[in-house]
Amino acid sequence: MSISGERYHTRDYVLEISLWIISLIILIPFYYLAVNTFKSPEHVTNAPLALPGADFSFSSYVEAWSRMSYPRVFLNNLIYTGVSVMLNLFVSSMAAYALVMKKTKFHRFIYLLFISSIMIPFQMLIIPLMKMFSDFHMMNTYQGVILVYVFTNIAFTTFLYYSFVKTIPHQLEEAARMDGATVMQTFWRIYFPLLVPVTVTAGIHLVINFWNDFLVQVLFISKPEMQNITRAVFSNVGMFSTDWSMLLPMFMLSMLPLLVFFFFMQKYIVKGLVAGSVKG
Amino acid sequence: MIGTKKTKIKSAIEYEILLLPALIGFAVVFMYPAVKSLIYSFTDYSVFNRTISFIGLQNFIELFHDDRMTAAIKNSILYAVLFTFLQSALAIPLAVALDSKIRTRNVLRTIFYMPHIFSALIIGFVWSFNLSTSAFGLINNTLRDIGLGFLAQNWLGDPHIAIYSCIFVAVWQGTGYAMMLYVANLQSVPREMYEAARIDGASAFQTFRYITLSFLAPAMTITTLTGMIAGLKVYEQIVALTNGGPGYATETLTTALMYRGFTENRYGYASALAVMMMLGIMVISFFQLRILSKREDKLL
Repeated sequence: MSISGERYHTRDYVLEISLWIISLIILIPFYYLAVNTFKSPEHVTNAPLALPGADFSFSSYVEAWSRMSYPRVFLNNLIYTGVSVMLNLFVSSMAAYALVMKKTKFHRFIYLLFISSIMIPFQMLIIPLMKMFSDFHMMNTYQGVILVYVFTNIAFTTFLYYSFVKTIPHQLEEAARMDGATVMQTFWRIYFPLLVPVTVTAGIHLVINFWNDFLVQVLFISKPEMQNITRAVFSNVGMFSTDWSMLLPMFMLSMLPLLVFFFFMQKYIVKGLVAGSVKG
Repeated sequence: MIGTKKTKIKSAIEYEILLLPALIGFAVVFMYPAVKSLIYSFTDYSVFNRTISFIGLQNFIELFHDDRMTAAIKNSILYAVLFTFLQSALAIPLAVALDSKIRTRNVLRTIFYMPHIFSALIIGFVWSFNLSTSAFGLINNTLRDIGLGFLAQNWLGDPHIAIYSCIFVAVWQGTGYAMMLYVANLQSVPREMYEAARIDGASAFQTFRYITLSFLAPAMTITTLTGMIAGLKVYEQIVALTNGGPGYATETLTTALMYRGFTENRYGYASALAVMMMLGIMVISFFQLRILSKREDKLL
């Protein structure tokens, strides 16, 4: 293994070519999915691996777009994800700050409670939440789903913020308070700007989680006009279970926004991955 | 000095105000339902019972005499263990290969990681298309094209194979994620270690076994722990691929919970399963963290 030289040896070429061959395991299914969305239904059945020929068209996309009322469910996804991520980060960063600064037994207890709750699976909450939601008429509402998203992930993001706030020298807080800043001012003007890296990390982690969510949606949302994209695809698979030429474009439409997000945020996603992996 | 009594009290209250939204939300949306579930698990609460009465451990006893539940417990454990093992077994060599100086390594890393960002439900649907026995089934077609037609199977319909097909899809989607964690971890290995091993005449295998693997212990702890937990909780992917069938062949803890809870509306009984699931996750996390962190200590 040469460490200093950047020279390419035969074995490097062999390794590189082998890795590209292995990567086909990932690439072919995506190719297969994409290529079949531009073909006629007969062509999908007869020659699935072939490129679209004369029958190349966007018509199945147009059809899928209107069948799943894409603009509507896309907007729903934006609302669910955007509001939940912002609320979660807002609430958990404040909580983490208070938990680091206050060192009483009560705050220590709350911190431990938060950490240990990470081990409690969401499945533990399903049945009582369903009952609560139907009692309080929260089924099929944005606020219901958003509340669940925000507070079933609060412990984890608080924990991330907590570890980060702890690394900031305590003198910073003392100095600010000495100058007459209130607790709120100290947090928002001095600490929060320093928390940007962890906010990005946690934010990306939550965006992907909430954007893809299915379980919460299937539990609390049944009205088509309230569904997110994943949930809408699920309902449509139920309806057109055999017509793949209709379903494949739906899969593509559901994956595209994330793909765009991924390419813009790639650097941060990979960075946040290690931090985000604390949770199951 | 700002130390007047009034401002001190005021700032103490301000800290509590910062904490309050998280605390209230967590108590109402998380702790309250979790405790409620625990209580339900000892009752016969269901849509048919207007009056809820305590029945002790009866739900838990019934769990082990219910074919759907025992199948779910068995499948979930098999799924979690096999998935976790395969994920790391494939991701570690891949990470080592992609930690070398090859030019396209960043593109390759991205390709391997990509499936992980998508919804497990959608990936499940895509694979139910690929694994289909119809004319367009990618896997069976490919096998026939390369002369291995005799290996073609009813991947999702055969009760002996279905669970392994589901595990395969999970490994396909999750290996890149584990690979990224290992790649990040490998960057902490001091390069001089390899140099020293080379000078001492260590073989490539010895270098891998005694240096690379030792330094990967932290990533291994995280990957196997998250893998086991995700494996035990799996739901969406199963819904997309087999919905628990054929028979109970791919029934998992969460599909069984959803069935008993919301198809049959037996809330108390389904809660008992949720409690079992939580206990399982806690026990596994506890032992895994202990064993693996002991290993980390020994190696580092």
